[in-house]
Amino acid sequence: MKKILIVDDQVEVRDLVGVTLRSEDYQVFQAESGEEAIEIARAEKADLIIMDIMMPGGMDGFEATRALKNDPETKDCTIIMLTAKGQKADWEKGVDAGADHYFIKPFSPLELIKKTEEVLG
Amino acid sequence: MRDEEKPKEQLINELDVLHQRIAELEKSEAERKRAEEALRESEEKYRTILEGIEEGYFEVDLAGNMTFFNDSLCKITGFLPGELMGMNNREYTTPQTAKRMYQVFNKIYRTGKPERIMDYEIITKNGSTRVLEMSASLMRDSTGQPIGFRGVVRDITERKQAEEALRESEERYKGLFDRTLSCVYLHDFEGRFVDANDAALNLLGYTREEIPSLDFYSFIGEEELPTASRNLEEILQTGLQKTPTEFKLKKKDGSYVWVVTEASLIYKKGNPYAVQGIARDITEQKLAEEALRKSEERYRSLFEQSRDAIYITSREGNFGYINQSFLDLFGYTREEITDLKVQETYANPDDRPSFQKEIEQKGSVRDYELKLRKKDGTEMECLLTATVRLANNGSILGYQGIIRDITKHKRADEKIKEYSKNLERMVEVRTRRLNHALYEAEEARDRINGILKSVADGLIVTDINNRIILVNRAAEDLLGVCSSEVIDRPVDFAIQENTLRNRINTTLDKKETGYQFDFELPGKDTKPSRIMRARTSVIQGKSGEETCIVTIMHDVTDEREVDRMKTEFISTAAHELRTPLTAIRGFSEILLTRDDIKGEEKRKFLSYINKQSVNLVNIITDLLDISRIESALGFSLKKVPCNIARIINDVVPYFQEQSPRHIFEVVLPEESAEVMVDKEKIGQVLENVLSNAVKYSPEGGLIRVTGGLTMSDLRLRNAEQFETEHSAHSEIRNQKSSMEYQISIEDQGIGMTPGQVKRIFDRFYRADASNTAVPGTGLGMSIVKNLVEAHGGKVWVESKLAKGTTVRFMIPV
Repeated sequence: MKKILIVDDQVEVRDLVGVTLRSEDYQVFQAESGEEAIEIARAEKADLIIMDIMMPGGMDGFEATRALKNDPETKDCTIIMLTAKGQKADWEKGVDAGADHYFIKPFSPLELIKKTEEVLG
Repeated sequence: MRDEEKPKEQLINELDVLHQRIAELEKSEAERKRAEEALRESEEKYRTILEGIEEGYFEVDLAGNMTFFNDSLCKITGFLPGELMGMNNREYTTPQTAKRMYQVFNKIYRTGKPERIMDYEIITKNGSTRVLEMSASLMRDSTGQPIGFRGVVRDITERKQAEEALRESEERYKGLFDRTLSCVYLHDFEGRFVDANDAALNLLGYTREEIPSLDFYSFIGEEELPTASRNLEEILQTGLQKTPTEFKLKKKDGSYVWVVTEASLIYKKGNPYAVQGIARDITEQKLAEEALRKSEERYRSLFEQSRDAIYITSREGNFGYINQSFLDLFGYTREEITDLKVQETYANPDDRPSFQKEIEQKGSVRDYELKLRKKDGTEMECLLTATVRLANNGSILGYQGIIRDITKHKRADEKIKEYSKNLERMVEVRTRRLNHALYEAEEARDRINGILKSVADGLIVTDINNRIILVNRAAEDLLGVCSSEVIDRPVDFAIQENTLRNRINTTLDKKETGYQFDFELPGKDTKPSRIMRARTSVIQGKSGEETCIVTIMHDVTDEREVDRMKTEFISTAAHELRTPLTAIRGFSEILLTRDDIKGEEKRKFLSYINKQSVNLVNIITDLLDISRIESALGFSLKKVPCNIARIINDVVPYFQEQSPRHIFEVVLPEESAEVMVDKEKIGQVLENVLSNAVKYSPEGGLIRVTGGLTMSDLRLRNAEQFETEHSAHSEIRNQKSSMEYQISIEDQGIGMTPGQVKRIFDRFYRADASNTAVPGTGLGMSIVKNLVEAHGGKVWVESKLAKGTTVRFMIPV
């Protein structure tokens, strides 16, 4: 069973992604901050992380992504960035941090399912 | 001897020979007689010849005494034959001649050859001197012995005299030719020059060596060549030129001289061989004549064309010469004038004697006033300027002068006086007006200068030499220069900022107006750097020439900041909109496509959608508020008497409900106060300030809302004190001692830095833009300020980092 980690400070978004990816094939974890996300990703060896950018606290989505991609234990994990920031500069910043895919809010849950199936094969 | 041996025939032969000898002798005797006869005849002939020839013949013995001579010698010497016979040479010659004769005869004696003595003098019997020429030879006897000398003499005295005269004449001529001041020249019949004296060469500027190359064409102009040819022809035909002719000759250097020439033929051995001419330089005379002619012409034309009447009269009163203007003035014809008396042109003929007395006493008069009369009887006021004409002996012939009719002038004079009086009046009025205009112009100039100096934009004016003419106060402040230090200095010296200096230079070079460019002024000390937008314009004078360049600098730092904030706002707004939309879109899509969502879960998702749509509405309301406030339309207040305490009491519980973990405290006086406000707008102000307090203070933090009436001077004092602390407040109005309602909202939140406080009312400003977790549009406090000021009130903020923030606002009562 593939492990998916959802990182977002807003409970509505976590619920939305959670219910979207609710399936017998996936085990879904949730994190409210970057720090929490790194902790869970390591502990659970997540296959896919869906990462928000703007989060309260010290670490935002870019930083968390960069940390995960630089960690040998977690670097093979696929990261989909999920953000309200839709500008090209932000997209580049995400790619630079090591994100594999980029979803812009408001996103379509159906597309997210498609992308998840594609990524987890 | 051998006679005995001779035969007979031999004897006979000898006899025959004897006979022959006798016959020969007889014959010879006859021949001798014949010869003697011939000799006598010959002698006779020579004597006749000797006596007939002009030359003198003489024979002298070896001692020099005369032995024989002919008559001519007697004539030459003046002696009689008897006196001359036996006379020695020395007796009729000068000692020098005697010496020469001795030497010559001695030579003849020695050599035996004939000799000549040229030009020797003898003294005749009457004592006069004659010049002779002699050829002499040696005389011998029949044995060949020298016995004396014979010779022929010729009297050459006359010839000698003629030769001497000729030589003298030649010398005189040559002296004359060389030294005369006139030009003398010789040319052949084709006009080629053979000789010329120094005067001639000097005059035309040629050298002696150049003479052979010169002919008529060298210096006679084409128009005068025919005259030269005519003269030459006349000379050839008649031997001389009858009348002197003037020629204009071209000098070697191209300038001209005038000469007068006279020429005649000269002869060699009786045949004409050349023309000799004499030329005199008359250039000066010519030029003087020309000048005189021109001068005369000028005066004549002056006289004839003068618009003044000019006259010459006799003392008796007859007109001599008058010009056309005179006739025109008086209306007479030239014929009528001849019979006219001067007195007849006087308005009062009795005036003439006094005029004559005056002019004859002084010799001349100037502007002599006289009334004259025209032919038609019209009288004229005239001015006469005249002089006396004198004869050679000093007696007065008459007068000459100029008449000027001043009748019109006199009339005009009166008018002029009137005009000038008017003019003076007009000038006075005009002067007053001008002074006024000047005053106004100066005032306008001062005003414009004042405006230029005080405009907020920096202003630099440079002239076409790129020197600074004007720098206003704003430019001084911006560039950090002092006007007195940079005025009249070149731009390159006065302006340190590269971009600005280069653009001013470029504008001057290209004469192109309307350059717009940005540059950055570095900050000083604590001041941040400023971004300036500048524009250069070439100012043209009335005739289109460039007079100066005006550079205007506008500080766009704030505008740029606003632009930046707007962009940030849009980004923020987009984010704020995307967040609720994510829930709305996502959950609605899930609910539409999934059948497994039921019951409680379905309700929860629907409530998410509902809550976020409400959130969306709030955001949109904020945006609309600010856009209304920002737009020129503004908004209208619905002011009604309100109890502000009641508004506070309505709003605070709502926030308490929203944020149950914050502690809200409301402090209000017991007495209620009614203030004229728009209830809804004051509510919005409270909501915005409270929402900030909630957002930026921790859960459990105290939020205190205080309200109440107060005296405005108290507020003022507070405000002043407040200003010295790093805080901002809106403009203070002088409303001392009036009442106002003041509300403060105090929190114990994160607080703000002085820089953040200063910008709190800026539109789109968010104190902590990087803290993306705190929702907001950055418009709340901007809206607050606008709404409070719309009520005539003020709002200000005090804050300390990590301690908390207090927002106060007051509404006048």
